[in-house]
Amino acid sequence: MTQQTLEQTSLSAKSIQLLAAALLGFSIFAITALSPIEVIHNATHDTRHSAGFPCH
Amino acid sequence: MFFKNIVLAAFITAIVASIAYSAYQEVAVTPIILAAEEFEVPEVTGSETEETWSPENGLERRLFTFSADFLTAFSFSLMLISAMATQRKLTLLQGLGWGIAGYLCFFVAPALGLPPEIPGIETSSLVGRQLWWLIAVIFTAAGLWLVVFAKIPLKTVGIVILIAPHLLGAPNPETHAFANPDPVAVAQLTELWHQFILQTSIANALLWLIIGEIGAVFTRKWILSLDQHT
Repeated sequence: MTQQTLEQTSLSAKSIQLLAAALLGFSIFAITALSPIEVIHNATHDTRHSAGFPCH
Repeated sequence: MFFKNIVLAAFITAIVASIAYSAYQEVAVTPIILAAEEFEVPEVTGSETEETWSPENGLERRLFTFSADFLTAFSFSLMLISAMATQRKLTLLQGLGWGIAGYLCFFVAPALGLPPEIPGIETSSLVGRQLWWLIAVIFTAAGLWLVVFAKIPLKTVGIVILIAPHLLGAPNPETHAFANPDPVAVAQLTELWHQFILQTSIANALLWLIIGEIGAVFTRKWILSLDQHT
């Protein structure tokens, strides 16, 4: 492999991993902040209010 | 390697940030929520409806709140550290800048249209507000990114994206009303609500500044250092 293709490969491998970490973060956020399931709403109620997420 | 290090960095950042946040919340924010709940009017429900589980007031409720605080801080840290990791260089001062950007995206911009609410406020449908709230977050993030990193012509597009959700307008009722119609209760709830907006603004600024700063320390140490080895 040439130096350039090596750099491109490692760059795209990095991008995929950054994207995966960001998506993991967004998924956790979506569940704690926005999930309509009532049990989750009740468990996260005070956190949602404090963080300014729409709650009721 | 990047993924694993980001998750670990976000985990430690979230522990530090959520301890500080939960402590401030416990002293300055939760008492306002509990005080507002005193004015709540019991909902009239049919005898068939079963009560869904919710944590008991006191220790159990606090433990669930602290856990949800941690998960929120962890999710914010994962997103912010992933974003910071796109940079070639990162100073600790820039870390604060990233933290402020997170605060603008996830708190200030949505709060301009939908201010943080105490329990007992009657407002528009939840799904509509959640949708606008999410649009405000995503547009602010995209707009800020363009304004900071793009070339001049695209920066103007960034500004348009930044203000678009506010031109669209949040799905708010004309006036905020409280479920409790008693004028004395309304006066006290209004005062509590203003206090709540102030205290949540401080609490969330604290949360984001810590995530930005501690996140930057670990991003430099564990993530950007990998670039030199690949």
